[in-house]
Amino acid sequence: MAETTLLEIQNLAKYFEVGRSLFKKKRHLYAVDGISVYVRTGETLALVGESGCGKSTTGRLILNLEQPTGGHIFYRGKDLADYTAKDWKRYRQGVQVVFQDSHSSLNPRKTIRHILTAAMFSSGTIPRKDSQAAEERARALMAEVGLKPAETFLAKYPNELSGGQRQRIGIARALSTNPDLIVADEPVSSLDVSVKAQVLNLLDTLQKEKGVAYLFISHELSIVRSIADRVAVMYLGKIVESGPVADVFDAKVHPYTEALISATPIPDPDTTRNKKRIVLPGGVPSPMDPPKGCPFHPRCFRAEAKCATEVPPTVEVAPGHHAACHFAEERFAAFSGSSESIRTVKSRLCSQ
Amino acid sequence: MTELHRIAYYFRRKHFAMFGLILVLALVTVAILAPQIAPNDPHAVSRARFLSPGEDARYPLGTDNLGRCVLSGVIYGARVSLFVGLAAAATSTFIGILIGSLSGYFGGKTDAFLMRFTELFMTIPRFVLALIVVAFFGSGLDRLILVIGVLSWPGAARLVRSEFLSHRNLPYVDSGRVSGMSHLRLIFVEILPNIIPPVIVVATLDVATAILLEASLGFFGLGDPNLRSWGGMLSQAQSHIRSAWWMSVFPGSAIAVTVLGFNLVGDGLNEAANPRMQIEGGST
Repeated sequence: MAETTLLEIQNLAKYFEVGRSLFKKKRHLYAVDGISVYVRTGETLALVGESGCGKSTTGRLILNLEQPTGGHIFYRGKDLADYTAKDWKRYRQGVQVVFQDSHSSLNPRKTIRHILTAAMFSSGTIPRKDSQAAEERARALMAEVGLKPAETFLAKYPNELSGGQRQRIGIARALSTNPDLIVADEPVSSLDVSVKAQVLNLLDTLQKEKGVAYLFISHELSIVRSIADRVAVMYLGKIVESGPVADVFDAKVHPYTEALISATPIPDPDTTRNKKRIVLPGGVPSPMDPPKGCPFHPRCFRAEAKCATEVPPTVEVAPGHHAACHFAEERFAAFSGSSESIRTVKSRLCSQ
Repeated sequence: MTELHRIAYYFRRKHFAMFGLILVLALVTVAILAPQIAPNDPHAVSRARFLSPGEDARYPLGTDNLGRCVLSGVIYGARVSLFVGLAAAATSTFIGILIGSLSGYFGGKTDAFLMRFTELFMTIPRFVLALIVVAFFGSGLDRLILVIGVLSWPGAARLVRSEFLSHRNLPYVDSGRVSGMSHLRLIFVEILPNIIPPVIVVATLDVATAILLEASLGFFGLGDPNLRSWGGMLSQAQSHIRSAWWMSVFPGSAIAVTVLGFNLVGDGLNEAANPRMQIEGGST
């Protein structure tokens, strides 16, 4: 697989205006506050964080469903801000989406056939007059996402399908334009555990077959660990740590990453009993009034005086592994020193 | 089961709504078959003036001050009322869909502008303006329909707008945007079919209002002078109300029954379309 950068985000920001009225001063909600991240062809980048950290907004910005307040998005090396109509057409085909709610992401009044072909036509993948080609493609897609017989499913309405089947249709629609990047916003979060596994396997198979890259937005760390190549952890609109998924999950350089991972249940009583669970004090600060210095400092167990005043720089602790913490180097060194014991934990984790 | 099937299912269980539907269907039948079932030419003047109902078998509901058959007038009047009512409601619904969908879909400044415009229309006393327009431009059936239609769209526009507001950011619309679907396609091909049920409810209620408005205009002598309409008949009955009660009671009842019928159907549809008003549990 070619290790070329497909999509790159630089200092991307999105501030929403809130509470604007005649007598109130207008305020901003800092949903995404200067993030930089990239996705390479054929890989899966997971964006993790708790609710409201800005991961979905990041996805919407990439899909051009929201206009960024600042920063740049480059797709195949060209800034979206400089796009011509022709570039946009290519972007519409190249970048697709799968949403969390499989129910509302399919038009309830349209057949599956319409839903799939409309996406092909509107994106220009297939010219509108060539309905024969669209029909053939729709059937091929049904086979690819494992819905058989294609003919029966194409004639159905979304409410006649189960959640898992609907999500497969959502994936088929995303694939219908032949994309090289799919933004998957919590694609399996609303599914049952068994169905979840099937859909994840499908996503994995499709990636291997088609070389499509995923921006996988999720809060389920166990899934991220199994599906992602690289991970970026977001907190209050900022990326606090990013890197290859194994490195980030093992080293946990940023205290927030450590807390997040410690909160993930592991289906093994022994591990769970011995696990040190980090409980963060307080709640997430309002994104309308983010803390000064490091955004995580009011809840951080490692915080010192300078965390409240100085914004921590993003440092590269290992090749491709970045963290925004004043103590990143120190914490990484401590991890490397104790990596023997970590490795045993890791092997245990992997055997789950 | 699609939503329309579901609505039909619940509608059938509502006795009042079904009663209204029977009334409406009966009226439509009467209007269509008017030439076959009317005993007389509704416009034919005769020397048999002020016959009371039952006095002469040829005039079951009596005759008016010009000796015209009241029953035939009521039967032919159904044509005028239903035609004006349906056509005016269609006009107002069409305008309402157009303005409401643009307003709700685009939001922001477009929405603010279109909604202020709609509110302006709502503040105008409809009946007075209709009177003025008809008095000014004459009172053909086409002008009646246009005036009533153009004055009745704000309700539909506001409903359509609120429906579009709730759909515009649903993932299925977003995914259309991601595929590069045009605004027009999203509005009319993707979203609009989803909001048809509530629009039908409002359109049905609009028919009743339009029929009332047409009758009121007719009562003031502003109906189409070449047609016998219920409002016109009431207008002529006015001066004979003490001596010839049948001249006013029958067209008046016809108006009441028609409006009742459409209102019952509209309310029934509304209840059937609104899942929260269902008592019986059931899946969608």
